[in-house]
Amino acid sequence: MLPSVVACGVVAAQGVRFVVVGSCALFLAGDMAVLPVKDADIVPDPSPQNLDCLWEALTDMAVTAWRVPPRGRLGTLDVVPVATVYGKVDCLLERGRADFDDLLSRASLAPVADAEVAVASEADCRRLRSLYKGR
Amino acid sequence: MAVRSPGRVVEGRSGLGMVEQSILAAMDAIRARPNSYHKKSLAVLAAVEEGIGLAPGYAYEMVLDLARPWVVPIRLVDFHGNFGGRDYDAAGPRYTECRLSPAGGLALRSERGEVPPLPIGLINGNIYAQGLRPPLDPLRAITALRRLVDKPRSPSREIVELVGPPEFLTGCDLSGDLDSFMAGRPTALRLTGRVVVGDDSHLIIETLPPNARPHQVIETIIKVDSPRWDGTFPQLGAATRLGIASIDNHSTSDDVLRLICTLRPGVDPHQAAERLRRVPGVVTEIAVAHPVPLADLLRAWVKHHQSEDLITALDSLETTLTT
Repeated sequence: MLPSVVACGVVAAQGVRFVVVGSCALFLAGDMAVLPVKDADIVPDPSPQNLDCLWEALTDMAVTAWRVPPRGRLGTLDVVPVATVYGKVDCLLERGRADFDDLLSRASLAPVADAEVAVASEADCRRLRSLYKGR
Repeated sequence: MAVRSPGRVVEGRSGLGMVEQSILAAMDAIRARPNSYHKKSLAVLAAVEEGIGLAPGYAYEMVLDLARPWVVPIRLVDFHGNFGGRDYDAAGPRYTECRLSPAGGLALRSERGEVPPLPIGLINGNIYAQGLRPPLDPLRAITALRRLVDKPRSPSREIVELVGPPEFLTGCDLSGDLDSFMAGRPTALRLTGRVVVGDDSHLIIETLPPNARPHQVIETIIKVDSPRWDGTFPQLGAATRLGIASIDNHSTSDDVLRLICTLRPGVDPHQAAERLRRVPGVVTEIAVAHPVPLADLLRAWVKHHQSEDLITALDSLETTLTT
């Protein structure tokens, strides 16, 4: 299993609500052309309870816990990259504040071992890729 | 970051950046020369600050890097005292001393036009300064440059074979798109620490990437191998766990790394080794790019300095490195 996929599974297992986007999502949807997948891009639910849960998960998984921004900052930062012991996770927080419900409504569930993660639709993944990477 | 112009690495006489040159010049100014006594690092930093206004905190990091054998293949600084290790910080500049190494002295003389140009910047690269050019094997690079001096029309393929892959100094396995790297295209190279199967119940980590700290790698392995998912998500637990019962650091020095992992009973050591090689820290990716294809970069260096006695310069650098 790819490290970034495992990382998504572990975040989900800790009760965090999020939608996977980017190449990790495309890979989970069966697109092998995106390999190698370097990191997991996740769009978290922006509710305060969920951000608390995300902070605890990231702190638990981080290679160096003190590099995770303070709990209270997750509600204001745009992108938070975290080097976890499973692989790199990019938390697209601003995207979550803008789009989480829309992304989730079009997402599908994919199994990661016995955890389940919400995977953004291919169209959303491609749209966000062009937004962030200009292609 | 601009990577399209060969710039100073080809056109400069030593290929070193302004900060490196200023540090060497500062050492020379306070007579911290290869055949003199070491001088207080604090005095060197004061001279650098006076020379180019670079604050001591920044300059000291560079001084340390230029002395560290796991950072640069051609060490320009000879250090006295604790210059830090893979796992611990250096002593403060008031407690340490330094001077120019023989190669550092040669680089400075080259910059001053006293000896012909030297490809030190080309060989050391600038990864240590957050750049994209990785270090090269010094002796192989010298051989490739000599070939280009002798036969300027040598095919690029031959030059690439002579110069070989980047030299990351800690003995890791290198993988990735080396063809892209040689062709001057931006790419990422993967460095994987050497994990060997000791016997049926032990794995030994013998090398780690240059930017990995052994104690942090141990903490990461312990965290990855946590049994926390075994009860609630057993399949996830099986996917994440490495099968390691304990891990001990038996390293004897910065050069001899030895992390011994004792496996839990019944764990296949080869599968565990394969998983261990995917743990962050044991493996890392480094972004690399040369401004032009590597063979062309070497060719450009030779062409730019063709009016000077490059063979003598390369001989003197080789002698400095091998004695």
